[in-house]
Amino acid sequence: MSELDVSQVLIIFLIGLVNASLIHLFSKEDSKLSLIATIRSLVQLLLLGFILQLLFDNDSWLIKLLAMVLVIFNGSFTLKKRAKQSHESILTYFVIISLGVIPGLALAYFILDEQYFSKPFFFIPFTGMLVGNSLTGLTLGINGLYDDIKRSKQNIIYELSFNISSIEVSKSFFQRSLTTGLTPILNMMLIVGIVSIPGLMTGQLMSGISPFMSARYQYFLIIAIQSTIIICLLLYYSYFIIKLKKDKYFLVELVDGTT
Amino acid sequence: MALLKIKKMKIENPKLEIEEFEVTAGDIIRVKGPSGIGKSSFLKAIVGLKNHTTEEFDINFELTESIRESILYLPQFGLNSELLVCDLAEKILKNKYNENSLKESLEHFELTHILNSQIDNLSGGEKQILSLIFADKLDRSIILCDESFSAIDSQRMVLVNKMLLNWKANCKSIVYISHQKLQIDDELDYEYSFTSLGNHSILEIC
Repeated sequence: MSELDVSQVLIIFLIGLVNASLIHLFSKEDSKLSLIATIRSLVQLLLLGFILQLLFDNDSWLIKLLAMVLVIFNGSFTLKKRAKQSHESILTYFVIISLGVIPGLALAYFILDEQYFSKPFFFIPFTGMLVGNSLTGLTLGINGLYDDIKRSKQNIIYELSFNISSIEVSKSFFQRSLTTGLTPILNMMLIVGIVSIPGLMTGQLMSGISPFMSARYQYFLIIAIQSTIIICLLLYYSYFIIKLKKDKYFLVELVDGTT
Repeated sequence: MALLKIKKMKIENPKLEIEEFEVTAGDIIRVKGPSGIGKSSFLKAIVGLKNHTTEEFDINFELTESIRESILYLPQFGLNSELLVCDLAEKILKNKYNENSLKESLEHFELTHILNSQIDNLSGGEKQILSLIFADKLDRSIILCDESFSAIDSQRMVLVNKMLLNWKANCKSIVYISHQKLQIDDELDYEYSFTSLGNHSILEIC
């Protein structure tokens, strides 16, 4: 694989700036965001490369676990910012994502070679992929849930009036939220190999691994990601149900916009 | 004996103060006041659909779980749903659902044709009558009608009025909000009115 030098990275960065200026023609706000994203992604990726290199050179479980905690914390922090309507604490998201990631890690531990699983070059990026995708699923699912609830004020009041429990009323919102949260991964699963070659597989192919082997790894990864998103969303709905049970006004205050 | 007695209820949004409100069996009570003053919020608060603090909230009927088992709040607008009328009826009436009985009630209002229609395809008036039929079948002690007759045509309103008087005869109480003149206005036992006092409103008996 040919190496990218600094001048080539600079050219790529300049293309990012051109993209931001193109967006500026339509929206100043989006252009600003694109500019920040171009700079942030470069800095974050370089920093990631630096940190991963350090981690790969020092293979210890303590460092790997620390990296995992950091990744989950960052995911929780980002989720707190992006799922603004839900008002949960970072700790709540941290617990949900942590619990959601465990089955994916367990799956990898039991299916893959134990030694391969514990290698930092697998463990850390794999955890990152699970957290990153669960973050997308949770953001879409949670925002979809709250938007749907707010749009359905009339129906919620009607059903509650007729003594249908708030949990039963919420079921249809959970169903639709789950669909929204799972849409990206389901779309990806439906088109994988036909329309696009996913990131991990591309990376493996580029580094010379056989297409058959990389396809198997990719399949494993997709199922692990899907499981993580489903578990994270189900955990969030369980937490939502606890809130419904604890506070009888929770749902009506949500539709009234007073929560 | 009062079925429901409320003393010193306070609601935050909109700011409302209810000094005393009482409903006895078979009462017909009208709550009036200008639009937006908080009449609906008050009715919702009674059934726990709005947060409130109340010094005294006495009810004279047995409850197993929720106050909504005995008091029904009928909102102005019906459900928006792809459900069929018969399926919604089953969902709401639960063990009280009986298809023949529902057909009879619909026939009474000349609405048999809506039994297998989607709720979304019903008119506002049809939805309101359907809600009133559900209220009738559920047999609640107190029914709070929040503009629940506003879209019903005058011909069917005569039948609705008979239904309401029948509720009264069966010792069910009706508390209603309506901006239109209704026949049951002549049967009123009490009338309460909301008055604005600047930053908050109070409920007074007329």
